[in-house]
Amino acid sequence: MSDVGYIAAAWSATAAVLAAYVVRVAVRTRHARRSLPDDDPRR
Amino acid sequence: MTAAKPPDNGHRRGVASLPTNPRLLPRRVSVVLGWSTLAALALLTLFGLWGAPPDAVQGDAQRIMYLHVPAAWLAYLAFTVTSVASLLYLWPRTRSTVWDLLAGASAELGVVFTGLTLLLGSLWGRPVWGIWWAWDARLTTTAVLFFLYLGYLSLRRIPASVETRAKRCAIAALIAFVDVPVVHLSVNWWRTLHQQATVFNPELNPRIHGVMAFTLWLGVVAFTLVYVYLLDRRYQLAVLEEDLEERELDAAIAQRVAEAPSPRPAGVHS
Amino acid sequence: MNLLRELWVVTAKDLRIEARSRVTIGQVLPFGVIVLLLFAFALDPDRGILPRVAPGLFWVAVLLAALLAVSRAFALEEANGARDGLRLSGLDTGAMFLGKALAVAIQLFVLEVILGAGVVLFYDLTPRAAEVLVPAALAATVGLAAAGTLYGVLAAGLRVRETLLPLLLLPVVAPVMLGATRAFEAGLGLNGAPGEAWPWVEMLGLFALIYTTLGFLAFGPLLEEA
Repeated sequence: MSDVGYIAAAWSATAAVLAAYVVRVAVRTRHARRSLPDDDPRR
Repeated sequence: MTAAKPPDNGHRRGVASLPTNPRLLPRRVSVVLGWSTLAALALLTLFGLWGAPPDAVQGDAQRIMYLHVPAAWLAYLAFTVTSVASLLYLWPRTRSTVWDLLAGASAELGVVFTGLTLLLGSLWGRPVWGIWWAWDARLTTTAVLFFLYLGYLSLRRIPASVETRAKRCAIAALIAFVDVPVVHLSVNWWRTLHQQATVFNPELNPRIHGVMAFTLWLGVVAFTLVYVYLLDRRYQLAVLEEDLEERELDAAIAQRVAEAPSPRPAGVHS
Repeated sequence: MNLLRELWVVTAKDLRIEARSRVTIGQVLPFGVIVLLLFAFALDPDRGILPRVAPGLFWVAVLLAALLAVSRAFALEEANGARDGLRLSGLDTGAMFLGKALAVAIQLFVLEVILGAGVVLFYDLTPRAAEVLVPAALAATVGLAAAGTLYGVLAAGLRVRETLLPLLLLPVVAPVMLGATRAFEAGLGLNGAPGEAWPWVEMLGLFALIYTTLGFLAFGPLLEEA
């Protein structure tokens, strides 16, 4: 693999990790918020 | 835990003691922060991949450093925040669920970014050193750090009363933090006492070019923004999930009490 | 002194239980010896690798045995509400920590002596420089016992104790593993002169001191909550 390959791998790995984390947190937040009753102040 | 035990609400924190506001930052600040984080990351990509000149010795592979160094910085920042929050939890006058949840949120980010640091380091080491992994002092310390906080995160997920868990986790976080310099010291000695030719030759690090230094700083700023943004999101999630868990538990207890054959309300003696 | 007497009450209790149940001698020690045998199977004894890497293998075996010993030290307190008994005994929690750690350390040290003999026997190693090896082993043992006891109480009473303890403890005791192995290598003349072991012995001593202090301070709050 050339240098370009490693750089591409590094950038895509970072993007993938960040995106996966953001999506995971967002999905769980949505789920938690929907499951809470309407009058919950934290919703 | 025995089934005969009455519902012990004294050990449970209850929804009431959770922070009412699930956000660290106001909603609008968070939205603006999210967009600025994205912009900073885009700018970093622009400078890291095209703006900065290739390194005189390492060539283009050095560009990975624009992600690797900020990721490592973020990991250390996150663990420091975890330690400070744990200390604030243990201190009786500042004891609050906020600190416990903040410590957990920050530690999770720290572990994610320590893992990323190791991965990026490997991707850099392969073209520059010719190997995926070197038993270099800093690498080894980082690997130990990763497992140290992975253990802490497992401790956070244990099924135990919330107060117990919070206290144990806070103490574990502080022990882990104290352990880091000891690990670093021992690994450092190990690699310097017995390794004649080190891979880190000081002559390999010539004066950093102006644009390169700027890009590195840009990376640190961008990743710090990432950290603050994600910490806010993760903290909110922690509050919501804690809230949900408490409510589900309350509902389950209420159901059991309703099912009880005895006319007396079971286990209520306050 | 009161602290010493209270400490000894706890140590004597744990050692008496060991004398009657023989779990460390009957189960943990054979486990350690089997680990030594497994290393010989993994690294062909004919190639002469074993004596050269013996210190590292010895300390890995000790570390694995220490995990079991610590687990055992807290399994003792699980049955019949023994932990509540300990909590209500009125003993100083710091003394309790030191007492439990000392009991673990004594058992570990006995284990090390026997496993050490096993290494000499199985791996064809000549013991020498005891004036270096003994302090190194003592410092490492105290460090292992202190860190182990601290993490033992941290994981005590949890349903996932058996699987959580190794994950929590092993990264923390990585410096002990490193320091003790290097000290033994230097002491046995496998890697440098015996005199080169001293910085490592000092590091092991520092580790032991740090974890004894941490445990002394943290044991009370941890036991209260358990």
